[in-house]
Formats: sequence, structure tokens, C-alpha cells
Amino acid sequence: MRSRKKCSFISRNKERKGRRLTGGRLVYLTFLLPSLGGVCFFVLLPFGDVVRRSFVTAMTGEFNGLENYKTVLVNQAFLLAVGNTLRFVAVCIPLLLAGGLLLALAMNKIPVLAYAKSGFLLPQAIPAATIVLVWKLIFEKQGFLNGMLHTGIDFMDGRAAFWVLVGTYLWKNLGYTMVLWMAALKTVPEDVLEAARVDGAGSVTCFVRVTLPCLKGAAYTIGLLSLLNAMKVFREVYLIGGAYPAKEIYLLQHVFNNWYTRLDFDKMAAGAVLAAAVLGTGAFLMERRLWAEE
Amino acid sequence: MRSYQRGKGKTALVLFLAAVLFTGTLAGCGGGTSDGAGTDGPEQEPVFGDGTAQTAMGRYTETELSLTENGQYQDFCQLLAGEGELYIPAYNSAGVRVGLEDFALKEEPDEELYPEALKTRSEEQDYLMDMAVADNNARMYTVFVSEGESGQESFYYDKYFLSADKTERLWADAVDKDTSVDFRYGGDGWFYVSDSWGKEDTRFYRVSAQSGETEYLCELEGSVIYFTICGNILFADMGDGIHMYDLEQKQEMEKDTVLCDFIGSDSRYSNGSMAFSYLLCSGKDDSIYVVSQKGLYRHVLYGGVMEQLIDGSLCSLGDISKMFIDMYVEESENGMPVFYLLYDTAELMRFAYDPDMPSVPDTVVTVYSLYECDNVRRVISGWQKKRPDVYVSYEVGLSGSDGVTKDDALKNLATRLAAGEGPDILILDDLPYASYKEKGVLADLGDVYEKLQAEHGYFDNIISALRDSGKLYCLPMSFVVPVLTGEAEDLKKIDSVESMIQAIRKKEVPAGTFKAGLRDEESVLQCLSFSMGQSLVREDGTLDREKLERFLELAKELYEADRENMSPEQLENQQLILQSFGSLDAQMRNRQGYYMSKKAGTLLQVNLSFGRKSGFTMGNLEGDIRYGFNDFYTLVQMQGHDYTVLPGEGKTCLPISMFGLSSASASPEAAKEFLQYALSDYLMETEHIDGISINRDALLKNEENPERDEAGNPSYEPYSYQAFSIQDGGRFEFEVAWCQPEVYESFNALLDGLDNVNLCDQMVIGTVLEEGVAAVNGSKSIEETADAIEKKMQLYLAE
Repeated sequence: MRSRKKCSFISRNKERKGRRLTGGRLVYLTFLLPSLGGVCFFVLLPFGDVVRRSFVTAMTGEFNGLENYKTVLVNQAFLLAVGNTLRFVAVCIPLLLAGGLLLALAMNKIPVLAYAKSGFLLPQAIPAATIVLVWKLIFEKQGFLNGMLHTGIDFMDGRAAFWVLVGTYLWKNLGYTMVLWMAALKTVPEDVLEAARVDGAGSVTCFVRVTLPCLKGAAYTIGLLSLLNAMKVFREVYLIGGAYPAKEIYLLQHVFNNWYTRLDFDKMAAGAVLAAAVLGTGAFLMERRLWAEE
Repeated sequence: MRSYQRGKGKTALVLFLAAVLFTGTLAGCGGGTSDGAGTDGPEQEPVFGDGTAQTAMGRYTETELSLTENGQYQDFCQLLAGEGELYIPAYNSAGVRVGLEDFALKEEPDEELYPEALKTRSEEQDYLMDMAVADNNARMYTVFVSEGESGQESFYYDKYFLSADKTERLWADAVDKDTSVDFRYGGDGWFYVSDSWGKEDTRFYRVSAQSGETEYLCELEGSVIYFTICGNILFADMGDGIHMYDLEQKQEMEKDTVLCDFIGSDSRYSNGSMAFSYLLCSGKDDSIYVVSQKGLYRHVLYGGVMEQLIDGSLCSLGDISKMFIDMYVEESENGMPVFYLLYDTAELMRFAYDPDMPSVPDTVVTVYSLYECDNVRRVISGWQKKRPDVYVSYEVGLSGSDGVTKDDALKNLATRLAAGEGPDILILDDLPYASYKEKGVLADLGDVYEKLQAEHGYFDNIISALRDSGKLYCLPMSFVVPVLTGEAEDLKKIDSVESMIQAIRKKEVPAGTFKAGLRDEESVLQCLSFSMGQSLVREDGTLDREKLERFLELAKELYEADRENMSPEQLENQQLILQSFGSLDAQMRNRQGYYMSKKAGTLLQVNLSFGRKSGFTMGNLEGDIRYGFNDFYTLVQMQGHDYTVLPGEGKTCLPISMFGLSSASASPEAAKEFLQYALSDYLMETEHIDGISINRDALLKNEENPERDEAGNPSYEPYSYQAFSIQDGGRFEFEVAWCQPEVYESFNALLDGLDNVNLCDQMVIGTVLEEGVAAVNGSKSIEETADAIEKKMQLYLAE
């Protein structure tokens, strides 16, 4: 009797689960609704409009087919900006991820350093305008660095400018990335590490075979955040070099900014769609690969 | 069951919270309506229950009365109320009387009001300053006295009291003769005096209009900018706010912070000739009236608000070219007084309340310019007088007071244009004209020009050069012409930049003189860019490297030729002048844009004022006839020169105040009417604009000599005297007379012969001016400089 009751409860529960699942989903959806609505309203809908604009002329709104895309894909300024942005990302992200992780490991190994954790976040709190001012004082032709080296190199122009920018980005974001890695390192199961050590694995083997695989999920998030921060570096470049900085640090946002000023909305929309497609595809593939491996 | 109900309750709560959160999110970012900050547009009209907008009624309207005599200004000093009339005394005449009822000039000025002593001074051409007149016709004034030989003179100020019985006596009771003073009549039987100008502190006195007795009042810290008497209070603007002194209690009162804040930047200048940028006048009870370019306001002393009665942007008050001399308020029974305002342009305005006029005009036309444009301000002021039913809202992208950069301003404008909420009229100076034209932002003005041509003659040679595939996307209000001055024989041999440089090299001038008066690298580049700048960029948008190198070569040659006669020591000595002139010119360029710098007249003055008779001078010929061309031609003659168009890519001119009509204009008809007014009626009515009028008929009208001799024939005697202090302590002075008709004929022929309009890209020119300096002075090679320019321009042109 009791077991029958139990069974009937289970079956009723199953039955209800089927119906209630919809109600549960509704609750989740309701929780999601504000942010989902915000994303739709402020991101997806405007982006939809950008996609529409990429097929029409800038001010008159006449259908222009793929002309805008063709114009953008042969535009030397756009291609240069894309190249520079990709180069910047390709150099900065690995350096940042590796540097942050090394620092985080060092922090874990040397407890005294943990006291300096907050100090690493300080660059994040300094306003961009201040950073730029200091950077100018240091790197300009008449700056401190040239004074010390007795040289007359304009580090804000030419190839050196790119590396100054890379340095700025790393200096600003390394502490934040390190904190993220430290949080991720705490999620690595200690018993698995212990088991590996018992099996005779050294520290390097433990790190490569146990710690790193456990950090994959975090790596994706940290990588994505670093990528987004890399896109924000435009603020510093704009303050250093204005709308037309040295060729080497002319980024994608420069070309969009200047097109906007001259009402080249058609080119801007096409460029934005292309950039979004590349970034979106990259992120999607990276995510797919990570999920597949897991 | 209870658990199920609890579950339902939780779901409902969650749904409710989510709804609140979602609504809050959207509400926080909702469209809403603009609070109007940063714009001077009219307020929204109230909408009533039936959904129709009901217009609020009642507004002050203005009536103008010109006080000029035979087209000549009289130097009026004050408004004085009499029986049903206003008496407006002048320095060198009896003045005029205006009836309050009919607001018209009385037939004959009352000679009785013009004391003999003043007549004599006028005949002896004494220079009278700062006059105040009392109700009983007693007067106080200053006579400026200059003694000694020209260039070595000493100056002082004799102050006089002229009693009601017309006895003149020197007033030296309190102030020595080296000190200049300001006089005001307080309307209470007393003259008020401040010993102002250049003193660390200012003392105030009052002098009885009856007896001439002097009474010391007070001393205030600082130099007085403006003072007046309203009721029993002396208001004095000492630069740090308005000080108030109680004339009954004989003590300084606490400052009225609302009044001080309101006056703010308006207090910072007066033109030094008893005309001011704002005025105060007493009102009923404890109130005062304040008039400035912002409008006319009523303020109760120590009250918290400034109540606007008249919006300056809707009438002549907003005209920046006018300053105020005096105001008279005639209180009325309905509580809306009539205001009489005397401008320094010899115009008397009457502002009377009209209850039948909509408080805010129904139609609004928005005009946008990147820089503050004096021409546009003047046109708007004239338009508002003529068409009070159409409000013109003027927006300036770079006001200079809010830290907005050019890039920011252009982006803001782009956002508005993209949203279809852009201005109706764009002043295209320094805006990306080519891009706007290509994107369809600008409407074709062909029909507007056709209508204009039906009424007046225009410089069609210039307008035609602006046409693009038969369409006309901009109409300039005026233009400047880059000119070269030199001896007539030398000018005949010049037909290109190369031959000009050759002529400059051959020219013999005294040692220590710049041969072409150019002085520095940037001046050389700038002058050449006026006539050659446009060709540096090809039609396909790429930089013409060959032409750029040639441009730099020519600039270098010109620079070297200019300073051939200067030793290193002499160049060193010139450094200070170069810096101060360069900074003045840069200020002009920053304020009014590239085209308004390097004025030929100013350059000639600089040359002559230092006794340097350079072989040639080059710069922009701009300005109206009376204050522009006549001054320029006088200076050209003083130098023994003639003038011609600066050689380069054709006979070039630079358009200024270029009007463009937005293709998305909300009020296209009103905007077109405004354009027509600006280029037709306004130019025909005015004689003072920046640049040479595009309306040829208006120019011809302004060339007609208004000066008359005693027999009423055209006079060619000097009408203007100008003097400047120069570095060695001496003075440079010259007199300007109206030119002979043949001078204007040859000027008109030069203008008719212009065939090229320079619409060079400011970004390109800016880079050439910046980088080109190194090539011109030889610190870098031509190739290196061209590389640097190309490198800088590469991105811009590639976009």
C-alpha cells in the first residue's frame, strides 16, 4: 500500500513535473526577462538596425546591396585598422593570460605577496586621462625616458607606439586578470592534486596535467574579458594621438569614430557587421571547442 | 495544498518583482523629452484637453527709430525724459528730441538745449568725452587734451561743470587732470562721478546739478567697469561683481548674489566710449531692470530670480555688434512698462508689450555654425525685427565655454543629422562640406539663388565656381580675396608664384626690412595655401605628392626671399613682434576660422607702424567698404603700392559664412526665406559685414560716398582717424577718406575677374601648416617633410 502510494506519488510527480516544468521555466524566464529585455532592446535591436543600415546609403536610406561591404573591404584605412587590432589582440591576450596566471601562481606560492594583491588592482582605478598624461611625460620626445637614455626617440610615434600601447594595456589589466586566475585556482580540487602527488607527479606535471585542464572554463571567461578590455584601449590611444594617431596604433574604433564624424554611416555599419561576425564566430568556435572537450 | 498555494504566491511575487524591475529598467532609459539644456529653442506649447495646442499670447515687440542724420551717426550720450518726449543730447550737436506718443523725431532740435560753450568747443574740434546732462540742462563732461609734437605728445583730461545758466567752469575739486573720470546723471539732481580707468581703487563723488558743489561718497576696491544710480542705490561693477552703495545710509550694502551671477561674463567689457554690454535701470518698488544681449530682465533686489521680460534672441538685443548707451523705462498701468533703449549705432528702440502677439513664435528655424559667426548673429537680429513670427534659434558647436572639441561638436551634429533632427540651416565654414554634399545632407539652393538673382546682381563668377553638376549646395554671404600689394610696376611683371618670388628677390628695400612682410614660416605657408591649397588633394581624394613638394619648395623660396635683407640680429629683435602678432593671428583663426586670419589691412598696418616699407605685402582683403576696403586702400597708398590678386591656382577667393540648407529641414520654406533675407535685404541694408558682400548690388551701394561737404557734394576729406601706440613709445596714425569712384571701379573689376573658389580641406591645410614649417626653415628636407605630411594624411585620406 505504502509502496503503491509511493509509486503513484512518483508517477503523479513525474506527471506534474511535465506540467510544472513549464511553470518552472516561466519562473526562470521571468527572472531572465529584465536582462534579456535589456539586451534585446539595447543590443540586439540596435544591432539589427546596424545590419539594415549596412545595406542602404548613409543619409538617404536607399538600398545599396553589397556596395557598402565592397567599399569597406577595399578601404585601406579599414584594413589597416583591422590588421592593427588583430595584431594588438594577438600580442596582448596571450601575454596577459600567461602573465596573470604566473602572477596568480606566485601569489599562491608566496603568501607574503598576497598582501600586495590590492596594489595590483590600482591601475584599474586610475582614470585613463591620468594614465595618458603620465605616459606622455615618460614617452614623448622630450619625456623622462629620452632624458634618461639621452636619446630623442618619439616613443609615441612609429613602431615604438605599438609597444607602448601593449605595455599600457598589460600594466592596466594584469592585476585584474591575476585576481581572476587566483579565484579560478581556488576551484582546482585539492584531493585530485593530492592524488597526483601520491602517484609521484612533480609540481610541473601537477600543473600541466591537473591544474591547467581544470582552468579551461575559467580561461574562456578570462580570455573573453581580456578581449573586451583590449577593445577599450581605444580611449587611451585617442587621448594620446587624437583621431589620427601613429599608423601603428590606428585601431578599428578610430576608423569607426572618424567615419561617424563624416556621416559615413553606411561604411560604418558594414564595418561593424563584419567585425561583429569575426568576433562572434571566434568566440563561438572557442566556446564550442571548450564545451566539446569537456 | 498550503505548499501549493505558497508556491503560487512565490510565483506571483517573482512575477511582480520582475515586472517592476523590467519596467524600471525601461523607464530609466526611456526617451523622455529634452529639458532644453544647451539649446535656446522655445518651450513646448501647452496642450489642452481637446488635444489641440493653444498658443500662449503676449510678447514685447520692438520698434526702431534711426537717429542718423544724412547717414551719419551722431554721438549721443544719454536719454533724458521730458514732458511727453525724450531728449537725447549729443556731444557735438544739440541732440534730438523724440515724442513718446508717436515715437518720432521732433521736427527741429531745440537749439536752446545746446549751450554756447559746447558749440564753441565743437567748432574748435575739441575732443569731448563722458558727458552727462541733468534735467535742468546742467552738464558735466571731459575734454581730452593733447600737447606737444606728434609722437611726443602728453595727454590729460580737463573736466568741466556747465551750470544750468550756461556758465562753464573747470571741475578739479577732487580729481587731478591726469585721471579720466566717468559721469552719470542720477535723475535726483546730482551728477555722479567715478575716477576710473587704470586705478587700483575707485572713488565716487557726486556733484550738485544746481550749485556744482562736490560731495565725496565712497571708495571701492578695484577699477570700475560700469556704474549707475537706481533710486537711492549706486550700483558699481568692479569686476568682482556688482557692488551696491546706499546713498541715504552712506554705506555699502551686501552684494546681491543672484544679480552678480546673472551679470557674470556680461560685465567683462565696455567699448570705452560710454557704451556698455549691459545696463541697469530702476523699476517699481525695490526692483531693477537689467538689459543685456541675453534679454531684458526684472529683478527684485535680493530676490532669488531674474524674471525675463524680453528674450534677447527674439529681437535686436541679441545683436552682438550693438552696445547699449542708456535705457529709459516708462511705467504703465498694466504693469508691463515700455522700454526705450539707445544703442551706440544711433538707434533708439522702443519695446512695448503686445498682448495679441504669440509669446513664442509658431515657426522655428535652427541655424548651426561650428564657430560663433558675427555675420549670422547680425542677420538673425535683423530678421527677428522684421519677422517676429518666425523664431531663429542659433546654435554654435564650439562656444569655447564648455570644453567641447571640434571632433565632439562634429559628432554631436552627425548624431542629430542621422536622427533627422539636425538644424535647418548649416553654416558650412569648417564643416565637412564635401562629405555632407555627397551624403545628401544638403538641399539644392538653385531655386533660392534664382529668386535672389531676380532682385539683385550677385557675383555670379563666384557662385558658378561653387556649382556641382549644376546644383548649388551652398551660398556664401561674403568672401575674402587673397591679395598681393606692391609697386604697380613690380605687380605688372607678376603672373605666377614663381614670378612673384623672383620679383621679391629683385626688390631692393632698406636693410632690416622683410621684403614681403611675411616674417615667419607659418605666414608664408598660410598665404600660399590661400591661393594654392586646394590643389594639394586630387579629385579622387588622394594627396598629390608632386604638387605638395612644389608647394613646399615655393614656400621655402618665398620665406628665404622675404628675409634676404635681415641680419640674424635683426631677426632676433623681431622675435617679440613675431610672437605677439602670431598669437593675435592664431586667436583670430581659432575664433573665426582659417579664412578670417592674415588680414591684409592689418599686415600693412604692422609694416607701416614700424616704419618698415616692405617691397610687397600679402594677405586677405576682407571687410566692408567703410571699415575694410577704405582702410586697406589708404594703407596701400601710404606705402606707395598698388594691389592685385595673389597668384596661384587661378584668381582665387575664399568664401565665408557659407549657408547650406538641410535636406531634412522641418521648416524648409521659412529657412529659405531666412536665406533670402540674409543674402538680399540684409546685405542691402547693412554696410558692416565680415568679408566682401556676395551681393554685388549691396557692394555697389556701399561704395557710394555718403560723406558730404558743406555744399552737399560728395566729400573726399578724411572721415576717420586711427592711431596706434607702437613699440618704441611713439604713435602710428593715419586718416581715412572715401575713395574716388575709379578706385572702386578697378576693385569691382578685380572681383568680377575672380574665377576660383578655394574650398580646401582644413585637415590637409592644418597638417601642411604644422609640418611644413620644418621644410620652410630648412630644418628638414622637402622630401622628409612631404613624407611626414603624407604619413599624417594617409589615414585621413584613406578613410
